[in-house]
Amino acid sequence: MPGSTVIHTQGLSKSYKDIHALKDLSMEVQGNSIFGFLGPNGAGKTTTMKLLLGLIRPTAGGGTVFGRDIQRDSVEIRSHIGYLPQEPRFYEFMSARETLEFVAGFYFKGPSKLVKERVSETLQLVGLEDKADRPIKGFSGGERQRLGIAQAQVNYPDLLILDEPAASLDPLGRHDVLEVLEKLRKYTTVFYSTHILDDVQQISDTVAILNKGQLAAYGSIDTLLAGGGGTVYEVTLKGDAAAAEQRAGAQPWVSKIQAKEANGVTRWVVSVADEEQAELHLLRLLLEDPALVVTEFGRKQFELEDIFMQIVQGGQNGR
Amino acid sequence: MAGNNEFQLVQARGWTGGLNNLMRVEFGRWFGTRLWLWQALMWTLIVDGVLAGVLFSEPSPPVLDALMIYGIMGGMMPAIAVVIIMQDVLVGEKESGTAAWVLSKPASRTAFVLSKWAAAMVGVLVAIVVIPGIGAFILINIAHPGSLEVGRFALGLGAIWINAAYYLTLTLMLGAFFSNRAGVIGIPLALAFGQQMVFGVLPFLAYVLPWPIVAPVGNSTNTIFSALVLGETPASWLPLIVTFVCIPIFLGLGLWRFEKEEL
Repeated sequence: MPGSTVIHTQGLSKSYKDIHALKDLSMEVQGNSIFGFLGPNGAGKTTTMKLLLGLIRPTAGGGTVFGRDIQRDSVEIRSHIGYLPQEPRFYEFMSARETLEFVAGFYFKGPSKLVKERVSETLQLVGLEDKADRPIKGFSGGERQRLGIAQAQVNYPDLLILDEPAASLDPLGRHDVLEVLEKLRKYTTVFYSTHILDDVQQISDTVAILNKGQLAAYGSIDTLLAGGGGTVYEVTLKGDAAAAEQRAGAQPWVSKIQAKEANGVTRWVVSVADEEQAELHLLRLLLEDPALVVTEFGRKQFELEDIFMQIVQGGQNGR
Repeated sequence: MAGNNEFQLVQARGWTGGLNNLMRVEFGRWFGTRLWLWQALMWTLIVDGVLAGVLFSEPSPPVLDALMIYGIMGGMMPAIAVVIIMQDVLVGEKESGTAAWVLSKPASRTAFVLSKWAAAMVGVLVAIVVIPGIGAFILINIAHPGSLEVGRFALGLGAIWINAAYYLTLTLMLGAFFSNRAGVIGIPLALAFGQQMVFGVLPFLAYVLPWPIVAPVGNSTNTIFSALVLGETPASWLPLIVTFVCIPIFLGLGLWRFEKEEL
C-alpha cells in the first residue's frame, strides 16, 4: 500500500442551511503515511472525517477511500477502517473487554480463541488490561480515550481515522499514543486531527490545515515549514540598538524589523527580502557598531505553530 | 487488513452488514441482562395483581368480564411499557453519539434499526405479553375452571402482541424522525389514550386504530382479544388487520428516515 492513494477528495463540501462547514476540499492521503489534520475548533475537521465514514452526506463534491465511493460503498469502506470519535461514547452496560469483542464481531466471525487473544492484546497495548472487566460506566476520560484507541485498532485496520486521539490524556498517555501511531505506520495509514501542534510536527509526514471550512495549507511538514513566511533572523543585542536599527532598516534587503527591549537586552526579529544579501551583510553590519554586543544571532527555525498561527490569524485560505 | 489472515472475516454486504453482530448485542441487552426479568416481574405484578383482585372479590366477574379487564390491563399496559422502553432507543443513541460510533463500523443503518426492533419485539413478547399472560391464564382458570383453552388464549395473546408491536414500531419510527424525546413519547401516548375519545366524532376510526383489539368500543363488552380467546366473531377484524399492516409501514418509514439521518 505505500505510495498508493488511500483517501482522495474532490471538491468535498458540506453545508447546513447557510453555514458552510466544509468548502471544496480536495486532497489526497498516501498509504502508510501519518496525515495530520489541523485547524481551530469548527474548522471542519470532524465534518471531513464523518463524510469519509458516511455518517453525513456531502452537499457537493465527493471522494473515495481505497478507491471506493464514500457514499455508495460506505459499509465496504468501513470494513477497512478504525475510527476514534472526538468524544468516544460506548455502551455503558458493557465492560472494556465486551466492547472490544463487540467491535471485533463486525470484522471477525472467528475463531473465537484468536478473537479473544486479539482483544486481550489490544487491551494490553493501551494499558487497560487490569480494568478490562469493569463496566465502562466508571471509566475516567483518559481511560475512555484509551478504550477508544483500542476499539479503533482491534481489527488492524488499513486506515485509522482518529479525531483528537491525544485529547483527555496526560502527557505520559499522549506520549504513549504517539509511540503507538509511530509503530502503526508500518502497517496502516493514519489520518488524525489534533490541536497539539508539537505532536503533528513530531510524527506526521503530511499536514493539512483547515480554516473556516477551507483548506488553508496542505503539504509535507518540510514544505510547510520551508514556506513559513520567508527568511527571518533572530538577533539579541546589548547596548544602544536604536542607531543600529535605523541603519539596518535602511538596507534594501531588510523588509521589516520588530524590536523588543527587556532587562537591558534588545531582541530583533528581522525579516529579509534577499536571503543572500542578508547572509553576507547583516551580522557584519551589527558587529561594526562598537556600541553594540551581539549575544545571539541566527536564522529563525519555524515551528508548525508559527505557520498555523499565521494561517489561522491571517485568515489565509487556499493552498 | 494487515495481520488478519488467520481470522474468518465477516463479509459486510449491503443492508445485512453487521446485522448478526448487532442482533447479538441487542438480544444480549434484553436477555443477557436482567432487563427482561424486571420487566416481566413488574408487568406481571401490575396486570395480574389487578386481575386477581377483581377475580377473587365477591361476586367474581364472569369470564367475559375477566377477559375484558385483562384485555384493557394486559393490552394497554404493554402499550405504555413499549413507549417508555423505545422512546430512548434511537434518540438516546443519536444524542449520546453511540449511533455514530456503531455506524462507523461496517454496519448498515438498516441493520442498526432492525436489530433494535427485533430484540424489542421478542423482549416485549416474552416479558410483557407471554409471562403476564400465563399468569392471567392460570388466574382465570382458577376462578373459572376449564373456561379457557390454551390455543385460543395464545391466539388472544398474539393479538395483544400485535397491539404492543404497533406502539413499539410507531415509537421507534418517531425516534428516527425526531431528535427530541417529547414527540417520540408524546405522540404514541396521546394516541394510546386519546383514540377512544374521537370514536364518537369520527366512528370510522374505530376500524383503523388498535383500541378495539384490547378494549371495548361504546357499550360493547366484546374485544378482538376476548373474541379470539372465546372463539367468537368480533364486531370487526379490521382494527387487527390495519394494526398489523401498520407495523411494517412504520418500520419501513423509520428505516427510510434513519438512512437520511446525519450522525
